[in-house]
Amino acid sequence: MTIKKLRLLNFKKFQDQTFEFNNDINIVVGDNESGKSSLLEAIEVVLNGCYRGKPLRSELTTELFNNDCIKAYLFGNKSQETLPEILVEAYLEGGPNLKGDNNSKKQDTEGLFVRIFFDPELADAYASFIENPDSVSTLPVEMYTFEWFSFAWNRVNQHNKGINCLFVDASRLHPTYGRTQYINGIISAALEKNDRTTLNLNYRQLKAKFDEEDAVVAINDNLDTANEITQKSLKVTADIASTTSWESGLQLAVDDVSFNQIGKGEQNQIQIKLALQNKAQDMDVIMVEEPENHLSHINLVQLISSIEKKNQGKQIFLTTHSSYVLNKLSIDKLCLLAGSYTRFKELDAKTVKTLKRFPGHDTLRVILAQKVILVEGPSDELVLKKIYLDKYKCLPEENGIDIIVVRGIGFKNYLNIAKPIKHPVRIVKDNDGDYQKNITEWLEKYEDDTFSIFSPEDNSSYSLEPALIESNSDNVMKLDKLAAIMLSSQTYNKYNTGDLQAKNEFVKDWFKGEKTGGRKVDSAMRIFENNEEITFPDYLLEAVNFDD
Amino acid sequence: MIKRLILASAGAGKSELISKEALERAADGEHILILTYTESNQKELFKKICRLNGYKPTEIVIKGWFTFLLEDMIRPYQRCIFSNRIPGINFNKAGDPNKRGGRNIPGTAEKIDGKYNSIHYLTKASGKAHTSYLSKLSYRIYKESKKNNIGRLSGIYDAVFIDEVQDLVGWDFDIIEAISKIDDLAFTCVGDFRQTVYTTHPTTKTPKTNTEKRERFESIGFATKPLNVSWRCIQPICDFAHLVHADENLYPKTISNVTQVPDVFANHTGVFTVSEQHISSYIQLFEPVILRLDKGTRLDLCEDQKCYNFGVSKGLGFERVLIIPTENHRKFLRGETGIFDDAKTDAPQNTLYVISTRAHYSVAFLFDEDSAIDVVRTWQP
Repeated sequence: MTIKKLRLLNFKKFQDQTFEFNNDINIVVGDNESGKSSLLEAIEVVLNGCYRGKPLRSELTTELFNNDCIKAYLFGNKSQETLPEILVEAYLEGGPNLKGDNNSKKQDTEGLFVRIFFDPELADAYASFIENPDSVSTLPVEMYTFEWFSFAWNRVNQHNKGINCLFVDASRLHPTYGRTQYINGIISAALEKNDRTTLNLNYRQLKAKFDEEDAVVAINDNLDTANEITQKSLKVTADIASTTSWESGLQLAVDDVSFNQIGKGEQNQIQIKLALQNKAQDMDVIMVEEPENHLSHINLVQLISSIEKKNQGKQIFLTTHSSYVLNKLSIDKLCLLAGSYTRFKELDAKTVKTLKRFPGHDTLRVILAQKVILVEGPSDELVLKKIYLDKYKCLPEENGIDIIVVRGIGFKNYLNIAKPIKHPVRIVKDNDGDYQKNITEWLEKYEDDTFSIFSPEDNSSYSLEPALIESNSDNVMKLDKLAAIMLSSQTYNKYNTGDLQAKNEFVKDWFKGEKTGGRKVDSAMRIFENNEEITFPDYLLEAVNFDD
Repeated sequence: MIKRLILASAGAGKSELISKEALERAADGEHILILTYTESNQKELFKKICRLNGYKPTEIVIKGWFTFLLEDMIRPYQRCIFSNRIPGINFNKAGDPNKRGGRNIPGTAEKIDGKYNSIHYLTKASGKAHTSYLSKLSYRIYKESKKNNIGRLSGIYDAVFIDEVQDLVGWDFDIIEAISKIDDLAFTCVGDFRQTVYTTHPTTKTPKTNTEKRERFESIGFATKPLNVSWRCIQPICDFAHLVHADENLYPKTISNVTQVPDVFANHTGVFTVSEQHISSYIQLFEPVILRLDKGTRLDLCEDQKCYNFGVSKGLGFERVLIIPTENHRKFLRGETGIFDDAKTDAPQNTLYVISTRAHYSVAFLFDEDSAIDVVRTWQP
């Protein structure tokens, strides 16, 4: 079974939002506090009846409620009907007996929902709670209850819901989250059904044997020989209550080291791989929080390739802050949480493929930045930063402006990625000596895109360095000042002969041609660190002008 | 797809037939729904499947008729009629909840001002659905939801069986008809109309009688197939029971498949009358299970004996049975086999059929005369 759609009302970050998903992989991306974890938690609530691994019944707290709905309640008249409700609806596919039209969209479809609401049976208690409405400072969640139904409006439970999800979240290894239960849930999911029973049976037999060991019997015989403590028989025994299964008594060991003691990266990898293995094939949905956590790049590469291979027949949700994870697993599986919810499924197939091949590109920066400036090389980036710093007295990233070097994969792929989010994108591009061909005609290919391009119209300013040189060539003094910054002292000595024209050509030639990348970066560094006043070309000034 | 009505005789092995076919289908990965009215028969079917297979595969679902109506026919699309979730059913033990003394209670009409009236279908206090109107509500939802409930069902199951279909009446048959319209569904109804002793609800709507029900099945397009064997009763008992409905000319004679009578019972087999004079020695000698009208019947005989009222004996089987006859039964033994023709309901006739088919080896009637029926012999010590 797969989740097609999720609707959340008043659940944590989400006042009322609907999310549609891919059947295979969903890569949930968003800034910190954008609600990535909340989204995954909501899925766990509606599919497993659990919040962070614990039964929902014991987890009904104000934490689950959207802040705005609590505020609206507290600022309102507090009558019973103003008490907010949480609704988590999962629209599913593959469970025909969950079908019906009992959902908020009145669709005839398969699904489950959890509703958390004020228990009307407690109206009397509520009446006394609001006797003095002004003293009410919190939502009375203690008077809340929840119901869990299918869209057929039949009650569901762990056994009849027909869909299971497993939430892999490394932070749950922390003892306060019920570590044992959590990790055993994962082990259990990885095993065949028969294996679980066999483990349990053998574990109980082992415990029974313990009680029969001669040494144990001897200890027990001596425990209360004279029956001074109790008239009945007193014994130390292994706990073999049928309710305690292997899960509480067994644990995972890696190279004979307890799972809890091994490195965090290793823990993380093993958890995710175990969850994906799911031999019993009883997990429909697997959710993974930030698989990149604690992993070196090489280990991450291995983990991602195993996620790619082992996800067959399962719907995967993972959150990430890693462009590598996103690009490698296919950037069109991106589900972006940034105020609104955007999927990238329409993304250009070529771009998707290119990024799978070259996953090192910082695609997430384009996606998450509020404003983006795309540039061709690191020199452009540094110089733009310098201009911005001079103008606004801070670096652009401090104001949510990200300058990104497109490098090998070119502007096109980055523009494709930026397209679904409709962020303002600025491009700083060289005219390469032919403004008509490289800028005007190039732009024609992108007529329906919304970005602005910045490039010098003068063909003699064919790239960054010549443009800088041109804008400081009013007189020799000015050019000398620039050359002193851009060139090393050795080169400057070579430069410092001839007239303005000769000097102009010398510097331009110095940065011309192949294998001048190092020179360009060095000079950009020096410009960035320099405190002398130089004149920057207009197109660069405009590119970082955010004055509106 | 094929729609079959299997007319079984008592002891024909209906449960076995259903269980076997359901298991075969489940092994092919099909999903099967088995419906039956009584809880005891649900348990019986479950046991039978477990006996044959070791466990009940999850592909096979056994549901009570009322549970089925509520969970599959009503709730998934109930909002087209009632917007509050129907929390459960209210079993109408005392009959139609909207009638008192044969008259409709005011305010319980199905519709008021063109709108569905919840009081007609649901209890006032808790909104539970009256069992008397459960199939009617199901049918209304079928119509109002544009057949969505049946569409949903077809998405879940490949085969549906209704066992003891004779217990269904009136609106239940509109649901049967709706289910029968699912194209790719194997639909099998199994029952023995001669064993109708209780029905799902009181109704004035047809079909009510056996004949009406059979006609309805025919008009829906069910192919009727008899299952006229008995794995329970020896041939003379089958022959006697056959006479109860022989006038209707609808049922082929039942063939006994009991070929071996264990030695301990071989000394006394068949259908007998036993006089008052010999009754206590008969009871002592053969220890029959006594079947009686109600617990007030012949306390002198029934004390310390294993006894069942007629009404609860259905579905049970015993080696030997002693029946304490009613006036009608006596007339029947005297040869008046048409005695039930003018009865208002089929119930008394069906009861005689049921109690006559409980015993494997011997059926005795406490009756002072010689019976006019050939197969019945008079017992002498």
